[in-house]
Amino acid sequence: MTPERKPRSTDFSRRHIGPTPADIEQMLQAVGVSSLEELIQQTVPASIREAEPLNIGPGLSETEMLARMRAIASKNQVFTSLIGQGYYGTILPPVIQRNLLENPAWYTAYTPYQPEISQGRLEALLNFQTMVADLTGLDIANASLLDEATAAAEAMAVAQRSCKQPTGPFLWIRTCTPRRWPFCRPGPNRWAGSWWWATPKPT
Amino acid sequence: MVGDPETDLNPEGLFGAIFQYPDTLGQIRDLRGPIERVKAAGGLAVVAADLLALTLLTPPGELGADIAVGSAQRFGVPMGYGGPHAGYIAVRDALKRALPGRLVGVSIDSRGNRAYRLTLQTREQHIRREKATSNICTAQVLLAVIASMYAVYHGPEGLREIAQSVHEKTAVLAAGLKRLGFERVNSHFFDTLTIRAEGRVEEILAEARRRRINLRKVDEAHIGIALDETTTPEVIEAVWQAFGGDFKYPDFAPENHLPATLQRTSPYLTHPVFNRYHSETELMRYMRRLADRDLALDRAMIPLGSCTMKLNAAAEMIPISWPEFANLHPFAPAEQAQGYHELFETLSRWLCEITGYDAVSLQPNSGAQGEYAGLLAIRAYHRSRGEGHRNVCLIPSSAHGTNPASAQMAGMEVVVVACDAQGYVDLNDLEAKAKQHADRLAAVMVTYPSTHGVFEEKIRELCDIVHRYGGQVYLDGANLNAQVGLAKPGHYGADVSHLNLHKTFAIPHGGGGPGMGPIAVKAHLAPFLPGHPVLDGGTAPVGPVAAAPYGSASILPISFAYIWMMGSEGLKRATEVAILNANYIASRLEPYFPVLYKNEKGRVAHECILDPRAFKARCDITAEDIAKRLIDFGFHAPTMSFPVPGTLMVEPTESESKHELDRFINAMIAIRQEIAQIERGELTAEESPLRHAPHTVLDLADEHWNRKYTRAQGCFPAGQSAMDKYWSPVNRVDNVYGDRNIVCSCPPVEEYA
Repeated sequence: MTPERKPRSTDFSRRHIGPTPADIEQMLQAVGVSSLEELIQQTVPASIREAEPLNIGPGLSETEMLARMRAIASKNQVFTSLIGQGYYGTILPPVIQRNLLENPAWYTAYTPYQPEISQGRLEALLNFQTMVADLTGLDIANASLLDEATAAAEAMAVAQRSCKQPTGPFLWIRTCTPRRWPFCRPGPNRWAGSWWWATPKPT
Repeated sequence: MVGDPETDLNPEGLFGAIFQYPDTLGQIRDLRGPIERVKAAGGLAVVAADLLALTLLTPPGELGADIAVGSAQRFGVPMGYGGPHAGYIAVRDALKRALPGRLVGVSIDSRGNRAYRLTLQTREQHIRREKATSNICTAQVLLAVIASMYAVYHGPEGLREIAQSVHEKTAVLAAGLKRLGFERVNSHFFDTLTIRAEGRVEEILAEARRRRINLRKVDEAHIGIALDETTTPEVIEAVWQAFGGDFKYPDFAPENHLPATLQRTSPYLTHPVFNRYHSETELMRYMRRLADRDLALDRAMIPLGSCTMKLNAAAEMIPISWPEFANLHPFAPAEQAQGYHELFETLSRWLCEITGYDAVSLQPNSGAQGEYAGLLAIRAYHRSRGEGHRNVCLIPSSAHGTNPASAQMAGMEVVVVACDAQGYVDLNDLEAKAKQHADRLAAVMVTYPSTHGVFEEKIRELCDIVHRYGGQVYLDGANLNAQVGLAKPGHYGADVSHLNLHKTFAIPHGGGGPGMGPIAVKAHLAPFLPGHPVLDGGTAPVGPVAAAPYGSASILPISFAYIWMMGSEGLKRATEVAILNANYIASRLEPYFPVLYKNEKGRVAHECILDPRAFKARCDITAEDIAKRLIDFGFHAPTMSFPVPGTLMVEPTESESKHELDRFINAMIAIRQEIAQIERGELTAEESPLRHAPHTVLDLADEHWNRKYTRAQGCFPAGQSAMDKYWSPVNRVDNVYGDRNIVCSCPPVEEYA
């Protein structure tokens, strides 16, 4: 049986990789080597080079990938979850989904260390800080942390650094959601021994 | 310690206490008394609060809290089986210099106009290294921006209405359950009920699941139910059915169950930005306006060394919006998430294949969190062998600042190892330090290829030395993009790495988050990967490092799709071209800017360091001047002053075409010629377009232009196209002013005039 001949238009890696094969030839010449392999030999130590190719399989086209991804997604069942504990159903307004979440102008930007070219997202983050400060009734909020659990751990660290008796215990009120707090167990961490894990008991 | 606020709050010696508001059972307590007691004893009071509830409830600041924390997830960010979401932290003014993470502030530019910037950066680990108080680099910018836009779109009245409606639905649900004879544990509530159902818990949960509803099992006798803005009357009727009731939603009139003493009276979101963009047209244009100010990959190469700003392909992004990935609760029963688990298993297998490791944890939400988790695994491993005293971590002086900050957080003592003139780790010094601390050596943290952008020949020897003295090798995976398909850390001596999926594996940077930092380990460390009480009941030797068991699950399909579409050959080719692109830039720019650090054969890895420090001495032109001038050419700057102060590190990635590389090279050559003018004494650095960069339309329109170069030279250097010009929205931002005058919320209206 003859294997199906796929047109080059379906080869995703040729879209992902910027230089064309002709470009690559010119660039190799500018660099002063005759092949990619020669360049790699001059770059990567022989002592760590893998002899065997990766065992991932052939690349899929975008169409094939999306079809197979659909099949995987369909194995998830979307129930209505009323579980709470920090995660709630919410309506992402379509105008935000389409123009922000799905917009490369927003999602492909880098961290705003170069402020001149980051004024848009810096303003949006300032809005976030204003929103959090307003709603919590506090003076100053930061531009977000990784998740609520990390925020709680960081708050504990701020408390420890800023109070008068940093060696004492830190009290976790029993009715705090247990699953949300990492680090809350005995073990090798920066506040070892001062507190521990507990299951809340309804009173 | 864990306790009850009323009985266990003997504040003697406490450094702080954390309260939840409303708490995990849905109860809303007046926290003024307990907070006062904590503070009277010298401790700090932290309140974990629900932002939506705070539109109706007295806010933590007014209850006396010093710090508030929580999540902005329910402001429009899908649950995504656990993430990514934006956590938040807010503090009293007195604590602002202790605030971790990134902070946006208001400053001015060189024309005195308002400009935003990250403020108080000196607190961060880039500068303070092992003295840093937090190792966090990544925030959750994209998610924070979505949450902020949700608030901008709805405004204060809209948010209040959403909260009111959630509360009313919960009140109706409560009234029905009461009529059915069920006792509610929490006297007051916002959106969460805890219902006593002794002996019937499993039956009710099963009945609910039959109706495709998940409730929370609090314990053997209690069920938790939390509603939200998506809850419909049909869902509430189905919940009643699960409890054995057959009511209609309109049968009940909602009552207010918020405590009378805790109703919010203070205003919020009064700033115009939250009151102006309430139509779709207005919001669409506001978001467009902001996006137009920024330079992202959709405009130009972002040649940031060590950041791997490669393509985030459209096809990779599409699945994350599918409800089957977006709308799963992280604590939903595993059988409802079989697709996710298939994806986790396959992705973990692929990551092991690519790295040569044996096991993966997908939990860490960033590279920094991955480092922390990896070091905890190393410590737990030593402890399991009766060597818990091993706590010395060797770190080369060239390391990224996050490495020593993570080591410090994991309770390790940092010992710095020298680098030689070529930028390689000095193996003699490494061996000497390893020997000196042999009885306490825990680990080395090394980046490969090095932060200097070179494959060190002796990485195997380095690993062997550390193993010989009983240490483990933590290999920072930030530069994995130079190795995929060519070399595997797990095969040449490393024991554990974090993998920045947002670098090597195509997850977008989101303007500063989400990130994703899974860790991969050799088999002997596998038992010490982060656990999670949902998965192991809290019995794992190492606890969780993130709130959700699989971290930011909903963005994993991006990396999965990337690997799937590239395949074995595509992945290897991408690495080779990434190395070619870097060497092409190095070769072409070498005559103009010295390339710092190359291997014996004159090659760099996937990035190169351009060294303009001689110009500083010769004519006062700095790396910053060059970086800002690149903006006038429409480019994002390379990485500045890392890992070597005063230099520029360039990483093009495989995704940039020759055309774009040439455009960048030509811009750099044109900048070199501008520097030459200064060297020849034709004008001073102060008078040059480099020092005044970036240029704006205000320069073009300046009626009093008296510079030594023309407006066109400033704004359209080297024949830049006027049609495709990217205009920087502000001139150079004044960093000192911003740190002296700290303003971190929207400036008052009159300043917008």
